[in-house]
Amino acid sequence: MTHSYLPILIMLAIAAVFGATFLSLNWVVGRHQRNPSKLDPYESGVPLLDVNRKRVNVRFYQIAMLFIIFDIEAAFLYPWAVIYREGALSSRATAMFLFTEMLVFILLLGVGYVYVWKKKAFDWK
Amino acid sequence: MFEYLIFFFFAAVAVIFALVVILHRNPVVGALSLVVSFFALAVMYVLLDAPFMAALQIIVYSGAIMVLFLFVIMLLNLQHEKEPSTRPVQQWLGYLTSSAFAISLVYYLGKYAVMSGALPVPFIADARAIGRRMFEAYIFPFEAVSILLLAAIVGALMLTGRSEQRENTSGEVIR
Amino acid sequence: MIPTQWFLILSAILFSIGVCGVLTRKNGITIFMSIELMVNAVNLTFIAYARQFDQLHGLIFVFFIMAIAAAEAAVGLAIFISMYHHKDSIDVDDANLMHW
Repeated sequence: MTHSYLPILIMLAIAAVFGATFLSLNWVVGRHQRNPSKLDPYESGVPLLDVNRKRVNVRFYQIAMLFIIFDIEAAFLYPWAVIYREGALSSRATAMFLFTEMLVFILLLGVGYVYVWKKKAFDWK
Repeated sequence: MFEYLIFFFFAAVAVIFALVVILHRNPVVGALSLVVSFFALAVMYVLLDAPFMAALQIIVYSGAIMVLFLFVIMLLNLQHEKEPSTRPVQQWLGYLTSSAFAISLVYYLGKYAVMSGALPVPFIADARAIGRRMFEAYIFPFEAVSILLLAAIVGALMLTGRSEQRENTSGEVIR
Repeated sequence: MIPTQWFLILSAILFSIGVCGVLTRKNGITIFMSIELMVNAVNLTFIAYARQFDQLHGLIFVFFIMAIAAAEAAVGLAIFISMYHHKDSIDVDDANLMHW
């Protein structure tokens, strides 16, 4: 059972080795110089327009929060999607039952979606 | 044998990065360490024959919840803020209490939680088994979760949506 | 098969680390992260016992706990944002007024 995860482990090890190798190669081979322009974000690009420490619109948070809620909703869809087919094959009543359950679930969250829409959390002007 | 090696490696990873979360002063470092710790817990779930839970752990915890945490830390620019230090009394009492708690818990678990070994049948906990059990015994909680999520949406929007009229056209909040 | 006991001990250690974080830190978000850590330690216990007794109920509980944790993170972080908006700090000691 656990042995089928061996490829993932090997991939993790390879990724770690690659990352460590190239970072340390950079450090070993490259020349060390630390001046202000080297430490800029976007080195050798345009100078920064403004400081990045200013207040940000709360819209960004709202979008991220909505992503989480609907992500959880999608997580609840996985087990349903796996069993729906065999339930539908076994009997019509089971199929209707499963379908109605998920419909109620989605409709309740759909109310939330409409609420968000009406509150104009999706509008960016 | 190999399983034991993986268990100890990832248990050490989980504990060390959890310690980084509570000891490091920079919350960004804390959030990223917590992601690593949660990933190590996902490996634990795989070792416990619960692959679906491991996938959910990565999708929901490491992938979504911790991203929201990181997002808020960056949004509020908390990584530059100096956290005032805790009073030493509180700090050392906290360390003392929690380590006493940990030691006693580990002692009693080590002494009394010895359980019988292998199961007679293999433990199957994939998405199919979980779905079947959930839709036969947990229908009502399943629907209640959707109401909970609805309440979370409304609550979070109400809490954050009050600066509506104070915004100018560029979308930047004026104080 | 790794003994269930070891998973329980790991979970106990993680839970105590979470308790320590809640007791000693002042930064609200770090405290919240410690709470998430404790929730995850409990999840590990649920799954360890689920395998030990060959019951799927524990896993379904973990599923619901994850949903609750997401809702809690959304609302809790909204509270911190709102607090930062008014107080310019998320230090939990500054949250000492009922309304402002």
